[in-house]
Amino acid sequence: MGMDESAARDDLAVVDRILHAADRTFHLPPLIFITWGLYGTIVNGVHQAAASGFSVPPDPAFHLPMMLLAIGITVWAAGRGDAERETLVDSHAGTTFATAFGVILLLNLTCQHAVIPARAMSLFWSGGMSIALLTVGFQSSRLLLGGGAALLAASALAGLAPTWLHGTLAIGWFAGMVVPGIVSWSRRAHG
Amino acid sequence: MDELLLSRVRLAVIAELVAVEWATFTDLQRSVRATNGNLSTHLGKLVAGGYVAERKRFVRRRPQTRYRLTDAGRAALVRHVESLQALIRSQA
Repeated sequence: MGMDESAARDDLAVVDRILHAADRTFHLPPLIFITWGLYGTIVNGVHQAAASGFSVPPDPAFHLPMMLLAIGITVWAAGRGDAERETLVDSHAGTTFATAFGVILLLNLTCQHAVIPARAMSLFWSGGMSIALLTVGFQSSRLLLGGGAALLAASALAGLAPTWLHGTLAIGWFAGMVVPGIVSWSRRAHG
Repeated sequence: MDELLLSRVRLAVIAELVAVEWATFTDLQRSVRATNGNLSTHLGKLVAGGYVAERKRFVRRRPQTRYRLTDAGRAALVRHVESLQALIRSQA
């Protein structure tokens, strides 16, 4: 066999050390969080402006181009990724966000107006994304955990002042995704 | 015992890859502290043995090689660790 007990113990120690020191951090590009955070902030901000009596463009005029732009930026940022590794946490986080986004988008396309009122749909979006942020945050990132808590808090508080529902959600999207994205970007830039 | 995993460098590479979806050559080199040529030789053997999958691509116009553990590699590590544990028990 060519190996004695001592060498076998050393080899097991190598495997044990590597597995215990495994990288469980999170490397998804911050630009993706900033993009979707701004998307949520702008959409809700425009709705709040409309509710406050300002003249704003109708939904489809800016929703669809903005969503396509956000999807384009996401694909570009993910493909450009210069990370040296993709951890299992990255993989699970990607799945979590993609699933949350896909489910809510499907409900948005199929149920809004016919079954779900537009205001409730806004809560679906913020609630759903806060679940994704909290799930990933609990596993690997206090920053995203804080972001998820902020977006969830905004979603819960939005119902207390219905006339400011969209404004509260806009603040939640900014605090929940844009701020963590900027902080994460800044941390990377400074090593 | 798995002949391919008797090398400490190859064993370390496989263990590193267990914990990630993929890692670049540079990242593995930093993790297992091997020289460029040494790591390249060992990775070549792991790829040839079907334990590791290799994918080359360009990132910002620079070539980047990514490595991912295959199912065969994962199973080989499990068998190898079990063999090491059996060896220790038999000589205890």
